[in-house]
Amino acid sequence: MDRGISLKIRSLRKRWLIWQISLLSLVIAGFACVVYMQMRRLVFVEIDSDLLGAARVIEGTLRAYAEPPAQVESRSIRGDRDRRREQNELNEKPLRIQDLSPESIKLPRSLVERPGPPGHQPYFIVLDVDRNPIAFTPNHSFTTYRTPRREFEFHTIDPYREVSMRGPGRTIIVVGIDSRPQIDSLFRLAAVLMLAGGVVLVLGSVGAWWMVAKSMQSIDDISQTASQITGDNLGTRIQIGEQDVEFEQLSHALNAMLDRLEKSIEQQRQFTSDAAHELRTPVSILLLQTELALSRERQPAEYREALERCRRAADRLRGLSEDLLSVAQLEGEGSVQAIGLVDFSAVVAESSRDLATLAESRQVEFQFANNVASTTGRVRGNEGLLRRLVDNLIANAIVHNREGGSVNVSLEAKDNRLALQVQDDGPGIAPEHLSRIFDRFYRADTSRTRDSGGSGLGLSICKQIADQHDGLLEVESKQGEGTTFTFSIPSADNPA
Amino acid sequence: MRILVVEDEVDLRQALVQALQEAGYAVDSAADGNDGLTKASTWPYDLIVLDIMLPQRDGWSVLEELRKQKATPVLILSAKGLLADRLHGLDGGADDYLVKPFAMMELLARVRALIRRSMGQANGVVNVGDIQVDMNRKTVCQGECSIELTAREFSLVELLVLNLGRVVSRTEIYDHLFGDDDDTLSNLVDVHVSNIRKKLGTQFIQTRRGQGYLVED
Repeated sequence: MDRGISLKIRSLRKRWLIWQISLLSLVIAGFACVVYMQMRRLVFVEIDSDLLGAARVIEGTLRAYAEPPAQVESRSIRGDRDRRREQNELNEKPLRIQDLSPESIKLPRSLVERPGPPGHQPYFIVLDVDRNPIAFTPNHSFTTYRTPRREFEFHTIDPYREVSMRGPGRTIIVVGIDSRPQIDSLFRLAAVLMLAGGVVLVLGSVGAWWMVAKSMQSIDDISQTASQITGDNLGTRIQIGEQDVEFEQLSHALNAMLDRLEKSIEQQRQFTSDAAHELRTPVSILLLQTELALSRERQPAEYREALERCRRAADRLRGLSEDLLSVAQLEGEGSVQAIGLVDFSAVVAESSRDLATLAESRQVEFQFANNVASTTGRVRGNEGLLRRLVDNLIANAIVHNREGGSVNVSLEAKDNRLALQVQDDGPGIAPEHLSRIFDRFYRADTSRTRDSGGSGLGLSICKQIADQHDGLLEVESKQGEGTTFTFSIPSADNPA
Repeated sequence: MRILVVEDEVDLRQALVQALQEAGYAVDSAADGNDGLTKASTWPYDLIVLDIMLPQRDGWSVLEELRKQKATPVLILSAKGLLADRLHGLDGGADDYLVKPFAMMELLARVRALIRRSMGQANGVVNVGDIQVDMNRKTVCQGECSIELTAREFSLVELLVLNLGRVVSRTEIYDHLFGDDDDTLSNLVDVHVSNIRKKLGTQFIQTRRGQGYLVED
């Protein structure tokens, strides 16, 4: 994005501020306009009513001179009033200057004596039918006048406001006033409104800025806290104090996220450290053994012995690296593994057959009871992973058994689930270890498990596989009596 | 010099024992914490190589119990390499802390240094008259020429030189020179002493009748 050209303001703070100030300006301007227009209307209504009042007074004076109009019978009862009036007027006898004494025509006192600056006094003119002035205010220049189209008409001949009215005897009465004082006061009002509006705008803008700044402060705090958080320093949390509710929610959400992140990173760190720790022992053996073997000339038997130890250590490294890889794969790409219909009973049968040899070599009695028909023993999942789980459970039971012990493996179908049970009568697991048996690198008894070449990851891998298959992996154990692992998985074959 | 190795890992334990034996030490071993503690409190070892993660009783506990009874030098050999672990070990009474994996040469050098120090000897090379005993290279020289000693003979010389000026009793010599598994004859020490005298002259090792042997400064 080209920031130089883009007109979009990318700062929320600025955008918010501009928006608020614009809105405020609009409101103030609108308010001022309404007030001004209203005042202006009131002023002119007052002027107009004064002018009309004066015109009516003159009209009354003139009417005394005029003869009453001849009564004309209207043809229609409900005739148009204007037309009737027009007809009346046409029938009226025109009033002319010789019919009256002009001095008697005066503006009412109330209008004339109204306070105002000199030179702004009201004025009037009365024109007869031929548009000759009958009476007028002296020292005033008049423009030409048309006959008003209605009974009276207001018009503005800047700066004068006038009313022209049809008078009796087809005269035209015009009363006017210089409206400059009113217009001046309206200007003053506008100025006051603008000033007040400006002050309000400034105050409002400052307030808006303060509010925006205050809200943004919370965001700044949050981002500052966030910038302090690194992989090594995950302990920092956003302070939750007197923030707005929205920001408090955001802070809570972020803190909760940090908690989860910290926990998962802590687990990861622990896992890495445990893994490194597990690698150290076989690597120590390899190093020490090779150094020792090379430190002097030796007999072939000694070399053989050294190589034998190295092979065992390398074997352990291989097993460990394979398990670590499994863990990583199960975590990262677990869902990517090929999923299909797997004949679980066949998997268990195959695993049992293969591991019977191991049981024999360890002098452990091994029995497998398959109580599931091959047609109903299918599940949805990954065959390789399920095989691994079954192998691990059975091999564990054999390896951790005592000499002369027995291992019973059984597979049953129950409530649309297949249940694999691996039971041994070995030494059992102490209750304090039982709850942590599925933790990574957790060993109930370090020495014994190491002799059997375990990495400490086997059961945690089983648990992960079980979780991925919506399966349940449970353990029951009594010290001195034996241990039973039960793995149940939803069946893909629904019984009819 | 007699060393106890407490390590549960079979292959590592055997390799450690072999490496130390070939370096001329009498070595006993224990596969778990309880056995280790029993042996450590029974015999006067010159050094104990102690693992931390042990079955039955862990290394921290072995160290704690041992320190209530004895001041035997302890070298912790552990896969736990965090600063906190090292501090815990050293503050808990260990004399040295080596993290697995380690180089054999370094382990042997540290073992030599710890034993030397515990005997109050700062230098790895000691001169007695015209005889120079190099405990680092396990050699003895008289003047310019090097003298061939067997591993046992050297160990005896080393023990006496480390206890320079002090009479070392025969029992002490037995305890420090022979491990659990050695079938020893009661007069074996005398045989070694006479062999050394043949090679280094009669004045080097002196006999205090009824008390033991002595190398005088």
